Amino acid sequence: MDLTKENHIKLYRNMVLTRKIEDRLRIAVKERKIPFAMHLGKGQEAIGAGGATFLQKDDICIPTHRGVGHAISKGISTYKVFTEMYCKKTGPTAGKGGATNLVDENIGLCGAYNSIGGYFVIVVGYGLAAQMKEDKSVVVVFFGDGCSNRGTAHEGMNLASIWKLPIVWICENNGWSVSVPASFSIATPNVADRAAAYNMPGVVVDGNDVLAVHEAVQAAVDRARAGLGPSMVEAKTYRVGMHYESPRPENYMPTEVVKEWEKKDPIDRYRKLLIDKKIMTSAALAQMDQEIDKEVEEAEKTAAKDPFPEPSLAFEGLYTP
Amino acid sequence: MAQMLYTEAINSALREEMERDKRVFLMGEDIGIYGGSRGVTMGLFDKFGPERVRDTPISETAIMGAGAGAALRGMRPVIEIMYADFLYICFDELSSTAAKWRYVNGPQFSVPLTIRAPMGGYGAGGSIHSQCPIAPVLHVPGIKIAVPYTPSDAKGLLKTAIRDNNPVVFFEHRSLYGTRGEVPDGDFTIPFGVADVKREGKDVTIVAISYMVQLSLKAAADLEKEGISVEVIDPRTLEPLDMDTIIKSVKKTGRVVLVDEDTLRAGSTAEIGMQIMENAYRSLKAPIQRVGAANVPIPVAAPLVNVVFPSVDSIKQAVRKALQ
Repeated sequence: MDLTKENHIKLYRNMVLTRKIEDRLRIAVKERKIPFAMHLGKGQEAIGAGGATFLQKDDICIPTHRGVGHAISKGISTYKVFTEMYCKKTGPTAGKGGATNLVDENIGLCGAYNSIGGYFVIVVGYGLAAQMKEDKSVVVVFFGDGCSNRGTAHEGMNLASIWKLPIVWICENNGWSVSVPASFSIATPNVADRAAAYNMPGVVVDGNDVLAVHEAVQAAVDRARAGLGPSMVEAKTYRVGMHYESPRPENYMPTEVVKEWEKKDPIDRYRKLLIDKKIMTSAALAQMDQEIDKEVEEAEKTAAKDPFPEPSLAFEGLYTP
Repeated sequence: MAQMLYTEAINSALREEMERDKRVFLMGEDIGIYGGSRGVTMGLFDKFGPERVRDTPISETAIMGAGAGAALRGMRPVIEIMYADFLYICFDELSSTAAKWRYVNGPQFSVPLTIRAPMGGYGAGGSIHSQCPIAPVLHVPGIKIAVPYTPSDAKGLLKTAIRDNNPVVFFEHRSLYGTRGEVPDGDFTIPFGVADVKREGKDVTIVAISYMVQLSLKAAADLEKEGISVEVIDPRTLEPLDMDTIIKSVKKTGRVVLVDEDTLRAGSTAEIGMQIMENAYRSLKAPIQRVGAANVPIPVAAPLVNVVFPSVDSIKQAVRKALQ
C-alpha cells in the first residue's frame, strides 16, 4: 500500500501520542496514581504504529504487556488508556483489569490479558473463529522476545499453520526479557528463524523504522486475509527504558549500548524523513506535537478526576447470564 | 424413554446441539474419524465433517486456549481433554483465561466454552490417567462444573453446558461409559444447581459425586439389610452447588458421609462439609465422615489401587462411624 500524506500523519501521530502518553504515565507512577507495575516502551513506538495503525476495524489486535502503543494504534482513546491505568470506574475494565487490559471489543482490541505469552494459544481460537465465520478478519498479535520461549508459542504457531489461520505474529524484540538478554535466551540468531519450523514466512525488519515495520506487516496481513495462513514478522528494537517503572536500579543494563540505541530513536528518525521528503514541514509537525500534548494533558486530568468503582462491583460480572 | 449407554447419551447431546446451532463445534485429540479414544464422538466426523469435528495435535494447551479464544469470538466450542488429568497441562488457559476473562475484561465478553474431561480410576490407568481433578477446578472462580452420574443426566447436563454462556467443565466418568439408563426422548435439558435425591432415607445422608453415587447406592442397599436407612444425594453440579437439598437432608438425618473419588485432602467434600458446618451445625449428631482417594498418587497394581480408592466397604464403614 502506498502511503498517502494522511497515512504518514496517522503513523507519526500514533508514535508521538504513544510517547507522550507514556511520558505522562511515567510521572503518574511517581505520583502514585498507578498501583501496579507499569511497563513502558520508549523507543519501541514504531512497532505498534507500524503494525496496528492500518488494520481494519474488525481485525483483532493483541498488544503486549508493554502495550500502550499497540492499543493506541488500533484506536483506543487516550482518555481510556489513563482511566485503565488509574483503575477508574470509567476505564475499559472498570478497575478489574490493569495495565495489560487495554480492551475494546468495538475496535477489535482484545488486550494482552493472560500470563505473558499465554495469548499464543488464545489467538488460535480468534483465528479459527474468523476462519469458520468467513468474516475475512485478521488477527495481529504482538509479543516480546522473552515470551517467545514459552511452549504456548510452539503449540499455537504449529496449530495456526496446520489450519492456515489468518494470524500475524509480530515479535517486538527489544533485546531483554527483564534482565536476561535475548542473545542468551534464544537459541537461534532471530526469533523469526523459528517460523521455518512451522512452514510459515518469517522476516526480520528494523523495528525502529516505522515504514519497514508497516510494509512487512501489511504483506503478512494481506497474505492472511487471502487465506494463505499465518506469518511472523520480527521487529528488532531495544529497550532503552526500564523493564518497569521502579526505583530499583537495573544493574544489568549496558549503558553504552543504550546510548547508541537512543540515537536511533524511531520518532526522531521518522520526523526527519517526513521533513527531508517534504511530506510535512517541521512547523506542521511541531503544531501536531503541541496538539497531542494538549490531548494528553486533558485526558489525564479528566481521568484523574473520575471516580473509582464502588466496592459492590467486586461481586458483579463473574458469569454471563 | 429410550435405553441408552452413557456414551450414547453424550454422543446424542453433541449431535443434537451441533444440529441445533452451527456455532457449536468439537476439538480434541483423536475425536475425528477414530471417534475419540473411548468412542464417545463416534460418527460425528462423518456427519459434520472435519471443520466441525476437529482433530488436533497433542497440544492440550492449544486445545484449551483455542477453545477459549473461539468462544470469546462468538463460537461455542466443545473441547475434549482426553484424560481429565491433562487439565493440569492447560490449567493456565482454563483458570487464567476462560474462567476470568469476563470478570476482568468486562461484560461485553463471554466465554461459552464446554470442556469435556473424562475422568476416573478403577482401571489401572495409574498416576496420570486415573485422577478426578475436580477440586482444582472448583477452586477457581468462574467455572461451572457438571459431574453427571446417569446417562439421562449426562445428556441433559451436557446440553445445558453447551447452551450456557460460561466455561463449563463436564466431568464424564469412564467407569460409567458402559452403564445403561433411561433417557427422555427429544430435546431436554437439566438445569445446573439442582441435586437429585437418588434414594430417600432417614438415618444418614450420603452426598456422592459421579461414579461414587453407584458405590454409595450399593452401600445403602447393603446397609438397609442391617436396618440402616441411608439417603443418597447426587449434587449433579458442583458449581453451582445445590446446598439447599443437602442441608434439608442433613437436618432430617443429622448424620453425613461425603464421598468423592478425587484426592481427599482439600477436595470437594471439604467444601461441602464446611458448608454443612456453617449452615446446619446444630443439626449434626455426629462428626461428618469423608471418603475419598488417599493422599498418594494413584498406583496401578490392584492390591494398591483397592486401598487407595473409595470402595463399597469403605463407604459402609464411614456410615457406621457416622452412626456412632
